Amino acid sequence: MLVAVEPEAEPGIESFEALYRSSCSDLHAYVRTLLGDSASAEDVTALAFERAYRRRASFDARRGSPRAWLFGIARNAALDELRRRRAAPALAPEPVAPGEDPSDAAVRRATVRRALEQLGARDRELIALKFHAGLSNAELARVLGTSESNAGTRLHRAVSRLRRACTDTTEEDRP
Amino acid sequence: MTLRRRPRPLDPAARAELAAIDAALAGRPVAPEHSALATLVADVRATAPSPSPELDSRLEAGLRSGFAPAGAPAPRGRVATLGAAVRARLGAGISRRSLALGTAGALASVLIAAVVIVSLPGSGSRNATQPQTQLLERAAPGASTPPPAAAPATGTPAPARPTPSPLRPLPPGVAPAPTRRVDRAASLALSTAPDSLNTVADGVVRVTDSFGGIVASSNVSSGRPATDAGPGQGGEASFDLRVPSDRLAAALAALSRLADVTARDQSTQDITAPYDAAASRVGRLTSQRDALRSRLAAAHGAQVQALLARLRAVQAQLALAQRQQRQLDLRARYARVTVQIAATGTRHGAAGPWGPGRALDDALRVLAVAAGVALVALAALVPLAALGLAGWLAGRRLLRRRRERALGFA
Repeated sequence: MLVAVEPEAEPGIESFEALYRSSCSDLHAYVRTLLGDSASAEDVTALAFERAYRRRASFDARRGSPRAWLFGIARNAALDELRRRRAAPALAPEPVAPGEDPSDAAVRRATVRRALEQLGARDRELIALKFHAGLSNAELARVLGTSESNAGTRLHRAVSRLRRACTDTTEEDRP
Repeated sequence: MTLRRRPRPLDPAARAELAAIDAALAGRPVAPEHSALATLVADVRATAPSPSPELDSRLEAGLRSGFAPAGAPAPRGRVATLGAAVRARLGAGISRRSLALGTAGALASVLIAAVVIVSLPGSGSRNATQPQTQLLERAAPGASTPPPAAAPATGTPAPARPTPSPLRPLPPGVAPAPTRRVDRAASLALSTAPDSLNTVADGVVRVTDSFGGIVASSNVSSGRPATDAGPGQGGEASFDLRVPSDRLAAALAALSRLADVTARDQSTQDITAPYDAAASRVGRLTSQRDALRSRLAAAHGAQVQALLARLRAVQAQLALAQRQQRQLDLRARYARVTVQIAATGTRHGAAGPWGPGRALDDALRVLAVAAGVALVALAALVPLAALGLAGWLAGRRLLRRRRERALGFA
């Protein structure tokens, strides 16, 4: 059973626990997509929540939604992890078990997964923030530190590249 | 310099696709031409990795414990520690390093302020000798050198050398020397608190000046005021003054009001006879010189050289006699006053037991010192804070750039 964590001590966020419940999976998916491996993604996710909890008093609702604030913290933690990796050997993308589901949907999803791996980190991040985290364009802009129109433009380019990558992957798989 | 390319506004088709993505994410129906996009949204969402049960339990545990670091006790209640309270009050975004830097900066500023205040002149908290010799520049031509000042009290490391101080002419209103010429001298011993020594010393100079006198020499040795740590070390000061004789009584009265008088002596010496003798000698030598000049005007040959030799001798004697007469005249016109000030550790005007009045004085003094420390600390802290802010902003910018670069390499 969970105990509510000092809701009255969080002036900026009504309930950190509520934010956690609504964002945990999406945050992990975003970090996982950005980093490419699950072990680091879990560590960074936990670190992001820890940092967010400690800094919860500094949240300012005028500067964006709690979700955008949380994803901004996670993004910084993930980018720090990527910086650390530059000095260490790069991790290979985790293989996806082929043929888990013979259905068309499963095939499509495998294609999408491979297409995502072919994208650059910046595009992957945009896709994850939009599709996994479900952020609005304004929240995207807040997380990325850019304008809303710029975020929209970048997102559209990333989606276009993903669609091209899906098409290319499909054609490669075709016998 | 890097020019940031401004993105072009989205064309309507792109805007429609983004709207379709938002609709698909929200579970709303999309237009038929965007059905492929809606499928892509669903597929991408379906590929979203789920957190493992281990991560779930780790985060749940963290949520319960307030995400306390490993090994640290979980916070209980609202705020467990003072540090947590401070961090919560100032903003949890403040890191421990920032807090430590801020605390170190504040301590450094207070230290700087304390050092500056202690080193300020007149603080009374050091033990040093300060020769303060006042020279009056409006000198009377050919005025004599006053006699050396009395030796300062025991304990003064380096007594000030009596400074030749030519006396200025009598100020307007000062009566000429009377027929009877009297050499007057006085000595005054004052006692004051160590922290008032400089104030009393300044008062001596001020009183002397107001009566048309001069400070021939002075020596101020500051002491250390009494503290909780131990008794204060008394400083001392000595002054050798020249005061117009006809104002001596008033000047002594004014000087006596500066501090507690512990001793006062006065002496007089009639110097009429020596003065008259010197005047008579001057008159006689003047007559001789005039006669020699007359004879020299009418002399011829070898007589001229002899008269010139005699004239030089008489002129030398005349100069000496005139100097002696002038000295005696100045001794009659100006009285010598020696002032000794001893800092005894008791507050001036506050003899007796410690009471509300002295408590108020102490409180005001503490407040004044605290305000001074705060002011100097502020002066030291403002540039430090500006530097720290600039460094912090630069650090943030650098970190942001590094993170973005890491994204580009990934």
